[in-house]
Amino acid sequence: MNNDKAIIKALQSTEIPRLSADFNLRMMAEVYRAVERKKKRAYVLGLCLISGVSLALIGLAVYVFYTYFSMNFKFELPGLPKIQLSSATKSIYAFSTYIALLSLMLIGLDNYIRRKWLTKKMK
Amino acid sequence: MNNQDEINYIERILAGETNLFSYFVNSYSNSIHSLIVRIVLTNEDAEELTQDSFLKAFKKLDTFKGDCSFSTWLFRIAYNTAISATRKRKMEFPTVDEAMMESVPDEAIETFFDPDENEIKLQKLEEAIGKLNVEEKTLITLFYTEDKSVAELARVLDLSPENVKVKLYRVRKKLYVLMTKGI
Repeated sequence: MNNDKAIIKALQSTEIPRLSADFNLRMMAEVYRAVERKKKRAYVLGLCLISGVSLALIGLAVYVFYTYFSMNFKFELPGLPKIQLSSATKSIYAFSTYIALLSLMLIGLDNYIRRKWLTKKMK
Repeated sequence: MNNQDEINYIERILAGETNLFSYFVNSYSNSIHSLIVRIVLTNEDAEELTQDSFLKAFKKLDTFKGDCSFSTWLFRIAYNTAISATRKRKMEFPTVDEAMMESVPDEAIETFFDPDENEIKLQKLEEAIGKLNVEEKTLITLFYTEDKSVAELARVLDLSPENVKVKLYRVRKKLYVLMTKGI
């Protein structure tokens, strides 16, 4: 079949209109636009995700405060509330503070190691 | 540039070096365009579809597995893009009677396309190629002008290699009938 010279010649001699001279430039401009759009989409998606998670966490915190913590507000001076905590609530506060600090420390450590790894990779 | 080099380029593009995609655009834009223009027939549409094909390829670059050459993968995208465009426009192609094609002796085909001196024959052949359907045009364009193997054609057209061989053989018979019977 590769000896079908007539077919090859006919295909080659058929006049094919050429691509416009600036096609490759326009094409690459489109590609860069697509990259920008992708970046923007990822940014908006990230923002929505962070906002959603933050709102959910705030909601959870409010729910936990109202459900598991009991507080007595005593107003000794006008405008300055004095919070009195029961002994059961105090232990929950201490535990929550411990967990919150531990989480912050671990997130910080993760961020530090990640940055170090990225710097190493860039080099 | 061989297949491995192209894979390296793709990895770098995916890592953020977008400008390297220009290598693929420069290397394959004319081949892709000439295939599409044979399918859709108008240059304006062909140029737009060529652009669409490259954009689709760029967006789906992470799905390229490297189990075939990049050009084969790109031709597959271009073929599918052009096919979708022709479906929307409902293009019509002349059909050739099966019995007429079966009656053509194999020996006649073997020698018919070999000599290439006859200008009138070449002109008739060009006209006959223009009457082929989209799949047939793609088959002969990629097989004869892009030197694609049967296996690569099978990937582009999503057919089995045996099916491609049969179709290639039948295209030659169809061209013979179109030229000799003047359909």
